[in-house]
Amino acid sequence: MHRRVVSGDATASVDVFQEYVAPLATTVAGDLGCDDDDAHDAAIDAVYAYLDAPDRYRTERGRLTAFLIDIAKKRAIDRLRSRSARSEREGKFAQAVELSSPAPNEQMEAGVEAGRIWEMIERTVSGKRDRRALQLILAGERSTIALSEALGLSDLPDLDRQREVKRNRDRLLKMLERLGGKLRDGDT
Amino acid sequence: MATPSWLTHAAARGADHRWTFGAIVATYCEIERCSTEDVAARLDCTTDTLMWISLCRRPAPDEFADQIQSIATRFNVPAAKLAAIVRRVYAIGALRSSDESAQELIAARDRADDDGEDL
Repeated sequence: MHRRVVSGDATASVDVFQEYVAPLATTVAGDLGCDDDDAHDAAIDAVYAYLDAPDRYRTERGRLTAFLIDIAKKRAIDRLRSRSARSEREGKFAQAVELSSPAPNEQMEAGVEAGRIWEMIERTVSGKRDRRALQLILAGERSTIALSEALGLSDLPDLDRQREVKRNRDRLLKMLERLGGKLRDGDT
Repeated sequence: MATPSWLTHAAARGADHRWTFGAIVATYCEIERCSTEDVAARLDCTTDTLMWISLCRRPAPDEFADQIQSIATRFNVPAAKLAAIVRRVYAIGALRSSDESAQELIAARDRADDDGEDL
């Protein structure tokens, strides 16, 4: 298999996906206890990582399966860590909010700041769909279905929808970055 | 060929990896302002088959005809239509910039001419 991949065989990559994604996902789910989606994501990550640079795999160092399992587990652990760090941050944040309600003037300042940001978005972003999607993104929404509905892409076939949502999300995040830069520079 | 649950996700991710046929399909959809269903219809295949094709490696310029033929045979799609889609993407890439896409197109044409195939 590896020889076919390295030789540039156009369909070898399909065989790598077919042969390895399911068993990798099963191994990752079994060993790390992550859910089915995370396990498959990690398996797909591993296969792409290998196919992006097949020369990094050295046949003399062990079987391709072991090489892929190693990558898949690392990717799955990265995902679990980042998720757990996020929920820890959110937990701490919720605790802080509960324990120390902000003073009325702080609440007002935060409200004014949020108002300024949204005002700027409304001035810069003319499309209603983009604004709806931005509201969701700012609220931490990551679901493809929710974002596709906001962007009016829900009728697209699955593959196009995933791709288009990702493209639009990246575009809107870049737009937010630019707006953030303007706010920092005091350009309101 | 059975369709596993992970196929859509894997195929969609292909657009981020330039070596995949999925990147060709994504660019083609962008150029032609069409959906993957339209591309599948143009190739006389199902969207599932197109997703499998998306996981293939894009044809290398120096083996263009052979690799197109290999993908076409494996997935039972017309080689000429597959080649036309790739050429369209390479041609637009060449127009957009004078980068390697131009050389890919020229090399692909030369190679097909050398092989005497109508791909």
